[in-house]
Amino acid sequence: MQQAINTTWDSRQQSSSLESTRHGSIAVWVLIFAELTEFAFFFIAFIVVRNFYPEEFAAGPAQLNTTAGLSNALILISSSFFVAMSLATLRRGKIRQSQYWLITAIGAGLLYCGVKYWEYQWNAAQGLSVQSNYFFTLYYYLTFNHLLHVLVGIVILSTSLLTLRLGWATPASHQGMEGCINYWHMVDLAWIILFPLLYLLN
Amino acid sequence: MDHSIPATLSTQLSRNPGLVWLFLLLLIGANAALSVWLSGAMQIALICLSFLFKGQLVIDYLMGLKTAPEWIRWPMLLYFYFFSAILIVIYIL
Repeated sequence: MQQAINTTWDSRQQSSSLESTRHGSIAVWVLIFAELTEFAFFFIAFIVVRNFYPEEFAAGPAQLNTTAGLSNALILISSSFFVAMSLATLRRGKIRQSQYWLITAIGAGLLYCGVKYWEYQWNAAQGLSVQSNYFFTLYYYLTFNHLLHVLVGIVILSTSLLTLRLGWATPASHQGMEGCINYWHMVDLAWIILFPLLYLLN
Repeated sequence: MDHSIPATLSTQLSRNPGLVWLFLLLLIGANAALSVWLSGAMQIALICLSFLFKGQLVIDYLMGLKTAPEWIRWPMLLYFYFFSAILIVIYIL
């Protein structure tokens, strides 16, 4: 009887630990929720300031380069797919394929940075700057902050790639890589709200 | 809220991440097109609903949180429900 109870308890413990590793560690989720809260405050600040200067915020999106914003939305959502595929292939034991997906995701992240640089140059050529009006102050603050998160994400994904190459992340044990990939998804989720907020809604 | 994506489609999406990616690309394209073709309340409502749907697709299928513990999945989903609702209210009213 006691043995049966112990066996059930052991199997519960095992399944619970498998569940927790499958979705990353608690520490990473605390970080992700903290980052999302930070972005939430920015979104709320944008909405509040918009109420004080409705004309500037109504005209703002039309002055931006929507093609650049749209391109970056497509690039980031694709990179989210690439990292998801990297994790899925790693779980199936295909380490080489997992590395290729991760390299593609890092490439997409770098492309995002390139498009953002071009967009800032384009804005400057149109005479748009941080000091143009309150809409552009918030636009630069939000997008530059997001760009910093993308750069951190690229470094984190590169570290994941290194752990894969060194054999530290394996199909059986890859909790660190899961955390890195969830961070990258968080960066993509923030852009899913930022893109319509800055470029589309007027 | 759990049933916003029909069960059969949900199964297909879980099995095929490429389909999720395609959906997401189409939604982003549709978002941009809506901002040009439509205006006013309809534009705002559709754009907010589409980013809510995009968020759910990424959270449930690309992040794989559909089977995650509720304390992870629900705050993520509620984030998108909150902001889409607040934007609809503020931009339309």
